[in-house]
Amino acid sequence: MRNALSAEWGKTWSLRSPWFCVLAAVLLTAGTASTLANDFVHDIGQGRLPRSETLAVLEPLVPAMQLGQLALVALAMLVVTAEYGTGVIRSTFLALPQRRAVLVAKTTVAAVVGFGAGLGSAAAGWAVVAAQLGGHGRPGAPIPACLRLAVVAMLACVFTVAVGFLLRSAAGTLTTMFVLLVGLQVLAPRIGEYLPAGAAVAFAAGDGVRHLLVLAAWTAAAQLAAGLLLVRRDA
Amino acid sequence: MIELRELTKRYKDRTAVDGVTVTVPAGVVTALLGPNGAGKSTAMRIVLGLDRPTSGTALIGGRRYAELRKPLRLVGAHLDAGAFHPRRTGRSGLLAQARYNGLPRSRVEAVIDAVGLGAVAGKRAGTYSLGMAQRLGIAGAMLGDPGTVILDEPVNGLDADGVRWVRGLLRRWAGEGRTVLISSHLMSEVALIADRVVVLGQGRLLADATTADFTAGQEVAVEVAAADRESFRLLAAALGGHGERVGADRLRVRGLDAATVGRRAQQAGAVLRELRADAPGLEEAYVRLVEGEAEFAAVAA
Repeated sequence: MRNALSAEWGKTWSLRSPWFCVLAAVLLTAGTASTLANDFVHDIGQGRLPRSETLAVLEPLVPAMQLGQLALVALAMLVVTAEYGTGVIRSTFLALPQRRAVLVAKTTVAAVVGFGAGLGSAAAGWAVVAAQLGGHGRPGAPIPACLRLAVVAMLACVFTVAVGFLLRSAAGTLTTMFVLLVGLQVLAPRIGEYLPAGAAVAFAAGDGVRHLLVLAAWTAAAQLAAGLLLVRRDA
Repeated sequence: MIELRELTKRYKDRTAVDGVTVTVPAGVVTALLGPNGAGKSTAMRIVLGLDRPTSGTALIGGRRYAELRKPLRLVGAHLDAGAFHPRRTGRSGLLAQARYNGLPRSRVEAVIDAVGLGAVAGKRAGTYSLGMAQRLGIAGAMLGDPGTVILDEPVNGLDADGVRWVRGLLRRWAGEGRTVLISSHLMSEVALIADRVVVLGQGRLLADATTADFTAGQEVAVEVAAADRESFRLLAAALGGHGERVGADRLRVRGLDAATVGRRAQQAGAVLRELRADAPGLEEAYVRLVEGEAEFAAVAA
């Protein structure tokens, strides 16, 4: 497995697109969080909100991160679908015919990158929002909050690798992940909290570990399906 | 040694490989031949564990590919020119393959030098010509210094120099006792490279023989041309059912050798202006074998 991890890690960073994805995740998160925080401060400046009004730093950060992590989802997707798109997947299976080991290696790389870049994005977003809100910000606990956001980003990436193996196409995978992680939020919370998007947002906002379990269960189901299908399908 | 036993691969609407049993021995170059769509690539993909057979088995050295640990040390394969990511450099593509099997970086540099890609190894594979991509693929097959080499259409896209180089490479590998299996749809190139031929047509095994045996069984085609119209009439009568008219004064003869044709012409009093016996060619043997087997038979206009 060490060989497979070193191969997958090297493959990931020998392309340019993953670097762009990480940069995009940080910039999208910080930029969106900044815009949302700025709106709040602006409303106070315009007198639409009382001077004493405060905002939790996490509040604009959660939706900002939901957007920013899509860049990390794109990265995780590329780890899989770029190989199917170019035919490289056959070279991969020739070097490592135990296909589930390929799934595990790619998943691990995506998880590490998702967590690391997710943590970086969350921290950058936090710093920007805290600075912008100034005295109007309620800081809360930055470290647990950023860790929760990073865990969500990590699971989103693990989920994406599984969906990438199931669908094998970039467009299909990205659309599916967008629906699962963002689109499903339009549903009523009563149902939505049992679906990936609602669970991810609820856990990130600090509403409890049970939401994490919901997201993890969805991710595990997708991984399991990918593992089962992968060994049965022709490459 | 590669063994296919009763290998069958069926898709929804067609059978790509149909009950093929064949053994590819070590120490010689074996060519898998057949027209496009004959099942060559499918058979190779099954041997390499990429496709699952509907029934039957494919073994390399007695084991299924999917069971192999660090397979690149045992089997080197190059299936198509798209085996490397176009936006990754040739070197990093090879390095990734090497890492999967714990092969040292020095092996990557060694195979890059061996295929003559030293000058472009740092460039993205997408910028390579078809010939360079073939060389990169062959370099990938050489990474683990394997005892079995499987190459799909290895001389496609290569220039004359490249073709000669591949030929030399395959000969050397076979000489070192490796199992070498290549596929091709071009008979002429195989005649120069392969010691054995395995011919597939519509997924079925049509022939499995040494190149020499494959051509030896073929009858010699004789062509004869008469000097004038009267001679042609006499000649055609003398040859009877053996002759087939292929020109105004020309017959193609089957089932008789040139001397017999000459003798019959003499006895009939026919004057000839040409009598020619074509050496039995691999091409001819092959064409006759796959005639009517071609999946997309040409429709006479």
